[in-house]
Amino acid sequence: MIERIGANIRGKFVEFGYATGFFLSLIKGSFFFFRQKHVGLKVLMMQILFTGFEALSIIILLGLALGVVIIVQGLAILPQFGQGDLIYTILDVVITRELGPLLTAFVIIARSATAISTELGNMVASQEIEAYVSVGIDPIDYLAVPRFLGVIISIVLLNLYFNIAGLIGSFFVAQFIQTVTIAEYFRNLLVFSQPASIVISFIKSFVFGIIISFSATYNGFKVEGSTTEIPQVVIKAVGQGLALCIIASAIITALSYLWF
Amino acid sequence: MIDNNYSIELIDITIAKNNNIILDNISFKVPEGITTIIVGHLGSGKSTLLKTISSIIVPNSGKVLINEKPYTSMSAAAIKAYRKSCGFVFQDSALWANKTIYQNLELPLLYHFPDIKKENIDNKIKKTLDLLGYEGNINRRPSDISAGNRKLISFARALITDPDILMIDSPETSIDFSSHGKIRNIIRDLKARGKTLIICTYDEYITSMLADHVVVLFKNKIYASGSYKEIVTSNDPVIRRIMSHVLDKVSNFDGDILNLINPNS
Repeated sequence: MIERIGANIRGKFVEFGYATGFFLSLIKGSFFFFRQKHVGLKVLMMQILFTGFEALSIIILLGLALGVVIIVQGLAILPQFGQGDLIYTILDVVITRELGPLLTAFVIIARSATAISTELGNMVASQEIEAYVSVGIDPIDYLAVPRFLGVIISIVLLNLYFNIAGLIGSFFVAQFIQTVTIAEYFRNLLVFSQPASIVISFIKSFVFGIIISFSATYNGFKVEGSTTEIPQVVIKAVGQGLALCIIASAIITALSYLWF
Repeated sequence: MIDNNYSIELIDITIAKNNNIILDNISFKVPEGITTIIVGHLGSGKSTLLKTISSIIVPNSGKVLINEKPYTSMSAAAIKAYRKSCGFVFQDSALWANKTIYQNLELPLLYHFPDIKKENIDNKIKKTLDLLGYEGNINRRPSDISAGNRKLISFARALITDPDILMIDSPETSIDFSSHGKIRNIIRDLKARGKTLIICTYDEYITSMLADHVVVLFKNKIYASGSYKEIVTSNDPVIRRIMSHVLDKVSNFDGDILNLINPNS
């Protein structure tokens, strides 16, 4: 029993070592990626197309819907307390700071993290990764780094679009409840929102991008040879991605109130 | 003759997976410029040995030395140069499923020759496919072609950078009779050009006609290693059992065994 617990703990340390090494390889590969003519550039473009462009419609829809929910609820409740203008602060905090990056991350986890870990797992099982090694191509440089960069770039841009859609969506719905001119709406938004929110939103989406792409690629490569392992690693990639993004969001939010 | 010599040596290699020993304390120096055949029963570790020799698999213990330097301590540039000189044909082809046939052959060229022009890539691919007699559509994906053609493309991918060392895992697997003949001829031509060939095979023709050196794997260890003549004339019962398919061909051959070993002599 003790021996099994010891072996388990030792295994966790070994895995932590592998994960750290893999992460450092991703960072190193990312640093050098644009410095040389890289065969992985096409992989990066494809990843941005899949993660960033093809998810645009769902992200805009979610942003609009969230904006609608906040404005409808806010304009129904807040004026009762004489705090109607607080709606702009709530829009800023909820859409820009908190739910924008987080919901964008959830969409990316559902669409791209699952796809990446499934694809890489299949490639390991069908010996395609070994084939890359055999021709001299480093699978981390060629397969993981472009996906890592692609997801980060995409999530930062999607978060931006989510924010724009959420704030514009709110404006149009506000027209049905209370007539506000576009100039007044955005002036109020600027007055009541904090510039720090944009910085925090950017930091969050960047960190979420790192977490999601790392957990997806790392778990994908963890398949040892059997296709039955693929659903298991996909579940791990999704679970780790969700949990780590929420934890990271809480930490960044807490730190933001200390620093800003 | 080869212009870029690479010596490959395995030192005390052990590979285990899920507590099962696949290769047990193996030491072996790959003979340069000749054809080495790895033989053994099913599950004796032939494919794993071949992948270890090519450093596709990292052993649990022991070292793979490339030009007397551990592979794991080689620089990225040295590994890239070595890989360019070292082709590998997988038993199950292992083509990249999300790429077309053309892209499967294009990628090693783009990687090793970043400034290569498209027309040179096209010429190189056409020349290699002509050599193998592949006449199919190169814009199809591997899943859209037969297993035999996938094997041919796997050969083409290994040959596309004109490697000095070629490792082939079961060349006879998945291919039809006519493709089999083409692959035998290509292996014979590569041997004639002085390439270092390391082949895992049950093909009695390749073994009897082309082998210079034979490695016999038994119970996950190297049981015997020697010249083809030494192995084929051995009276050891294990070697005779493992080599039975070749010995049957040799015994049925109506002529001098040395002619069979070296048909051009």
